[in-house]
Amino acid sequence: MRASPLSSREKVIVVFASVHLAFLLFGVLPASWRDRIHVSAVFRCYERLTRCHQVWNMFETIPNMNRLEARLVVKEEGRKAKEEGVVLPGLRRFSQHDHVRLNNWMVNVIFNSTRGVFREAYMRSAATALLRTGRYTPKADLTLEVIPAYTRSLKGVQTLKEIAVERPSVLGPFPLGTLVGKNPPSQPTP
Amino acid sequence: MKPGTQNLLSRFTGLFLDPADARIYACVRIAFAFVSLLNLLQIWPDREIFFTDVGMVDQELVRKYTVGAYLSVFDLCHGVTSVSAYLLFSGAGMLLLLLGVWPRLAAGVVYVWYVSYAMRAPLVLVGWDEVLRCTAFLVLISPMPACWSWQSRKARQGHAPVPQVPRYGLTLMQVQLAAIYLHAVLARLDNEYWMSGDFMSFFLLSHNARWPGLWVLNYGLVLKGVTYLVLLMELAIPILLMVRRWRWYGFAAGILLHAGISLMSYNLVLFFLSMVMLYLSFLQPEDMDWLEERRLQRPKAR
Repeated sequence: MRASPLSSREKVIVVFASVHLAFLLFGVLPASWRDRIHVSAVFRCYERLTRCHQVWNMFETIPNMNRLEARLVVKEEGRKAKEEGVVLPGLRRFSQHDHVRLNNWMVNVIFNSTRGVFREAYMRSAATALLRTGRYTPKADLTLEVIPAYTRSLKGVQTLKEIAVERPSVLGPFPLGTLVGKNPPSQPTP
Repeated sequence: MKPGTQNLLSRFTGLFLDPADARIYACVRIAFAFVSLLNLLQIWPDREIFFTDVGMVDQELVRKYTVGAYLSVFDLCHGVTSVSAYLLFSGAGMLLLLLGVWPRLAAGVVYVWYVSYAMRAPLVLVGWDEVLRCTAFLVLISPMPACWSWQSRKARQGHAPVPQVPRYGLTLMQVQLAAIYLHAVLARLDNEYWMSGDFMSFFLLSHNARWPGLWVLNYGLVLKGVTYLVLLMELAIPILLMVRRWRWYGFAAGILLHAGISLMSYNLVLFFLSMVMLYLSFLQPEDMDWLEERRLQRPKAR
């Protein structure tokens, strides 16, 4: 047990560490539980200040996606549609296993209904990149094709001997010129 | 003040002010810097995709939708050259932290890096980014004794005694680790797949799995058991680690849990390392003595 009184430095340490300890202990509660408690505003304020977000809902939701493919499809009038990669810059192909962070981008942007504004921004950037290649005209139509395969129920997998079912979705088609017009790019290079 | 209250208060302040072995801080510092470097190396090939104006994340939109102030060094970096320069600068900070050269400054640089890229590209963050950012804050505020560092080489040669420093940084890291596990378990209580025990089957059929396939169905009962075992381990690990004589069981359980996850999943090795890094805060002086003895014995054996 300490015999001497605390020095000023020690007092600062105890106060600061106590605050952070209380913050961490409150952070044990899931976000939905915290919001019901009055001090959650103070918690969020401290969280924002320190940037130590306490959301640890690792695999809280069921991982129900078996695979995910995504591609850009560009169609010039009277020509066969061409496929391009979705990764910018460079229009590289997306690989779910190689791009773990981009997979999160897909989930956060493409599959999140509240992030439409980010999808639009992406489509504009993709259109700009496609025009810069010089392979397409502004009249060409751009579509983002996303093909997630969702895991069936365990009973369904057992019965059908098939793990997942594809549920493709598309964003578009939009004329490249219209997309770029909303966000004027620098002069395209052939 | 009553003796009972005084005793309680003294125990509480002891959580933060009791002396701790400086080598444990050094161990955490080195591990944190090393994992941060690995994380940076993983991000490096995709820096243009995440952080430049021609990439996948629009900085102006992110700024607009950021809750609170948008504070990111990437505000000054728009092209691949400036982004690369900033990544190299941050990498240099991690290297200095690893070596223990100007450790406080280096820890500041590393913390700013974590905050900056989390703000710039919140849509591409993964679980271990959060672990590393929270640890960066704790490393920054922790004591930085000159121990196991470039600067302490002379002291080490002279067999100087191990410095003692207040243990508040280690205490907070320990609580942070416990908070991660307990939060994860509590958040899953409402989830029917976790509660029914089907989680692990779905996980092994998902894109996260290294070997997804119909074979999973043959082990339904075993995987139910594994699902519950994961929850149990996440509850037990903090307790095992906090009881001094059980801590090695805690280490073993944690390493088994995360190594298992890493083995069965794609791309989760950095999560494994980020979590194990926090385990180091539970080491005790005798563990460090053992480690140093082993290290000192090796040259003699030659």
